[in-house]
Amino acid sequence: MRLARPARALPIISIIPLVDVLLILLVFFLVTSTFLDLDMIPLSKQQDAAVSPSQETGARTMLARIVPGGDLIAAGQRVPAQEISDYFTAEQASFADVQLLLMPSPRADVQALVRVLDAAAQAGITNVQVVRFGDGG
Amino acid sequence: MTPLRRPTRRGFPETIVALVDVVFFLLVFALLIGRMDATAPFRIDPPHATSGTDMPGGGLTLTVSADADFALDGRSIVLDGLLKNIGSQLAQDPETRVRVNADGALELHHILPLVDDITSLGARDVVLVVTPGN
Repeated sequence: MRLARPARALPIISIIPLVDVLLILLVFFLVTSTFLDLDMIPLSKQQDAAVSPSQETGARTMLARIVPGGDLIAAGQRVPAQEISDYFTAEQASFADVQLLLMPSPRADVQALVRVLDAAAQAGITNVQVVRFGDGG
Repeated sequence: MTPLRRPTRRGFPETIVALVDVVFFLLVFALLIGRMDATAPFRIDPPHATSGTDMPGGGLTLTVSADADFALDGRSIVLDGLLKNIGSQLAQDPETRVRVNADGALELHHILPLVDDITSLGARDVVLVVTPGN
């Protein structure tokens, strides 16, 4: 008579350490991560678009200057920073087909430039170029 | 005769499999929803804009602080090394996007000439990083 040995039970693998590791990883990612919602504004055109539309269509060109503090000087009048959007919207008809050349003061900040680009986009001014003349003043 | 005592009734063992599922799901969610980016060694408050468009990943990230400190992909760098580094990257792949993550309070004379320099190196896609909102 042969005795049959009982099948040896496999050791039970505890998954509690797995939970611990996963929880630690999760907390690590949540604590060390900085959640940012970022957008972008293009600063350069593709090479093949180097010819400006004003050269092709003869559209008018309007020059506007951004001064330190964020105010805009356009068509001989100074527009406060908070009213640039209203100004572009009110002047939308005259800005409709123009090429807007922005000449920011070197001392103006990035936010001032972005504010003007925003206002121009809201007013439907799509042809905007930033020009600069040296680094003075 | 000693009275018989009923054994204390054990509660049902609570399975932690559901907890593992939830934790694993949260972990995968956090990994998928986030985009890993090198953070600059200094604080940056990007300008706010309402006209920005969604920014795809990839490319070089040039970070400029309000005091005109530069970092490229999270590492501090001086201006000369910065342009050399960007130039070598553009030589390998001219389509490389250059993301300019400048502080909103940075004066433009620090950044506009730099954008011109980067463009003259052959960059075709230079974008300014903004934060949505007013």
